[in-house]
Amino acid sequence: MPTPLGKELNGNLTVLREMFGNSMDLYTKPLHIHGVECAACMFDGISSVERLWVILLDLLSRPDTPAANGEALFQRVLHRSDLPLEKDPVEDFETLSSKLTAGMTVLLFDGCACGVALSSQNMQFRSVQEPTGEGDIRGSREGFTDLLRINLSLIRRLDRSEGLTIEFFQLQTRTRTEAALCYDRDLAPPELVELARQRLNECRLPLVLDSSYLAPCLQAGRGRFFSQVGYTERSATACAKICEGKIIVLVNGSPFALILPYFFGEHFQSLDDYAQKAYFASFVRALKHLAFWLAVLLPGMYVCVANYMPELFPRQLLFKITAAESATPWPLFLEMVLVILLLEIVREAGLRLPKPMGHSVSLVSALIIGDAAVGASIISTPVVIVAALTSLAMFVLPSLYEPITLLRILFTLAAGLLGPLGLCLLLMWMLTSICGADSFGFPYAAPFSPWQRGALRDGLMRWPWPDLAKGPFTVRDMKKEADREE
Amino acid sequence: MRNRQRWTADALWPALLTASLADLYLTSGDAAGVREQLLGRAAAFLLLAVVLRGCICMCAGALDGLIRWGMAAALALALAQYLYHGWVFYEYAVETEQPFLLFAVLGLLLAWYAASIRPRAVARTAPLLLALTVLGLLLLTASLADQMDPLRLLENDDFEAEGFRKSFCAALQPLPEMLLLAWLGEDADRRRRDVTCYFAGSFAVHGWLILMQALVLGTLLPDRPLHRLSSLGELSVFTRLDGLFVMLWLLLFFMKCLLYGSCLSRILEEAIPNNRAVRLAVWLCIGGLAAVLYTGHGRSILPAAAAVLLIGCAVLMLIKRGGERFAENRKN
Repeated sequence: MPTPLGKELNGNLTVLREMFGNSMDLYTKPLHIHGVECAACMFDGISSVERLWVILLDLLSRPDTPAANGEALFQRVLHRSDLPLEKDPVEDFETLSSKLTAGMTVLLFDGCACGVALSSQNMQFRSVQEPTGEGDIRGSREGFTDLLRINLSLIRRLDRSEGLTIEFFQLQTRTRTEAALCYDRDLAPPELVELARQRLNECRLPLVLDSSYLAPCLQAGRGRFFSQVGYTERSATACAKICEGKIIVLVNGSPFALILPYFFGEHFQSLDDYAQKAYFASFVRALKHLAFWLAVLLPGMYVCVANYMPELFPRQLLFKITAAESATPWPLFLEMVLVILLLEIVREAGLRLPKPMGHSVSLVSALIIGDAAVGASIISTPVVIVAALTSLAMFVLPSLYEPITLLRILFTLAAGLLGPLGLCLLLMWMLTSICGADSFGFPYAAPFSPWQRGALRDGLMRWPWPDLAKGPFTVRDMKKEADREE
Repeated sequence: MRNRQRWTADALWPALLTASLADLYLTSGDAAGVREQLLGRAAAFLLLAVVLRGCICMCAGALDGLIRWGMAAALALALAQYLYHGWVFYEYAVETEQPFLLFAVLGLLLAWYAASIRPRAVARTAPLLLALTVLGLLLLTASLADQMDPLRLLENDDFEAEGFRKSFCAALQPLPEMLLLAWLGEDADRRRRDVTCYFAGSFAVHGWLILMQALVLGTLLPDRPLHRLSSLGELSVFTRLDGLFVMLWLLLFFMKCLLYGSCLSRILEEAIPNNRAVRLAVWLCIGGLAAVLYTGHGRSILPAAAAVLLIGCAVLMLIKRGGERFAENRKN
């Protein structure tokens, strides 16, 4: 139950100061406007004093007759002035707090239990820049920034259709973070929007500092290895997804937009696919699929074949592998796991270290792993080659980095300890967990499993635009096609 | 019932066909000629398809007590048998000693896992494995192309009725997959289509293998023809393909465990809802049966018992259907 504002100005200010623990950045300025005692309340730093005075000076310079009381002045300011005001009055302390923390100024009047909120925000934010984590050759260079309103404006600028709908949510967190649900109401299935709305409302977290915090609340089931929500930093990608009937969730303070639903096949797609020639885009997609399987299976397969089925290798290759392995003190699978872990440590060090020191990490790792360790026969060259190859393959799919990293270690361990039995058991588990999962009521492995015609059109391959335009394009069409095939 | 309905969203035949293809690796070669084998299988599959299509209509509902328990027992027996036969083949194919306990535990774990995932996951994974199997067979054909000689097809000129009979009888072997085709799903038309696709797919793969075996090996009769053929293939850096085909078989084997595990769990759920202890006891029984087979006891009895149970279930289903039809006709 919200606490209503009182009629006495000083009482309201006292409660407000107590609410924020007499915080130093809470600025309350007493004013006399048209003979009535008032107070302008704002937070220093997120609201601009200069802007506030420009607004108030306009009000103060009007030759209006003095107001009879606070109530009369409130009515005059709210209904008969040209000030940039919020249309709803501030009637309780919760709303007052919410407006103030959003960077607005609230004008309180003596003798009136309501206030008005003025748009005087002046938040410092990172400018719109090219995204660093999502490289593309063609397409818009604009990436999301940290401020929700700016991100929404980027989407609105690209998608000017009337269907684009934006819903605001204040998340049930201590930080009261704001989030927005963006979708095209003509393209997104209503049940999908309702589900997303419901899950966002049910989300209970202590704090949300990035959109990824919401991902576990939004996807069904716990402990999923592959995420059923996608991320993008590009406003153009977000816009493309909205045009596919999907939902974008933006969170204030995060430059990453969440995409719902997200299918496994989308990890292999990028904005460039649709800008390049169809044959080249198809080639790149095939390459990405190959890279995925290579990154996940190659270390395990190598360990399995070398340990359990060496007769499969040609004699020359087998001799070289045997010679290299006999010189090292570790079992093959352990050696492979160690090299993979070392590579991960190098990657993590390069990521977390300050940039000027990053080069020394590469230097040390190259010298230690690439030269000294191999030279001292602690690890063998074929193992380093396989691990490096899988790491390279992994970089092709940054969105799948987390599951691939763990899966390749698990596959290596399973292959080393149980041979083909372990490798196939894990592969079977992986396949069933991908194919069996649902993303917001849609099969996660769609359109590959269950197979739909779209799998060729815009899945494994990418057909030319005129053909793409003829077929199903949105998730709603996809569902219709699936129902028809059933 | 709710769980079983979830199967209906996806085609069933890929899951059942993939599971049954795992048997390809375990079967021994047929002494009959190519024509006799092909015709024998075609006739047997045709007969089975007709019977199953007849079975389908009355199975669109929960199983009755006797049929349900018969099916559950048949599935449990088949799973136990398959764990044992799988272990035998795996040891033979990998040429290393593998503890039976480990093999059986992993197989049962996967079957148990099947109970925790939705049956739809099994149905959706199967087409991928089926595609992988077809790709494997195509690669095998390509790798053996230089060893194929069409003249070997002419080595047996005369049609032998005995060979035909043997092939026909061998193909009539009842598999749980066949009854599952009749039981799973609600939409009778769709299930009929599943039956047709299942047998057409089975015949295509078996026929392909028979032809390839005849073209490469002629009248030679290897113990496990597919495994032998794969050991003769050579592709890219691989000097032989048997290792890769063992991996493919393992995937099909696990698919079978998942399918049987999933169906067995559904049947038990329908019969005894929310009773984990009973279900655990059933899984322990399956492990026990596999262990009995491993120790050498009951190797002749259990397969026969599984076959009798399956045939019994099929007959009961047909009788029930007949009775229902008769009652309907009298009513009209």
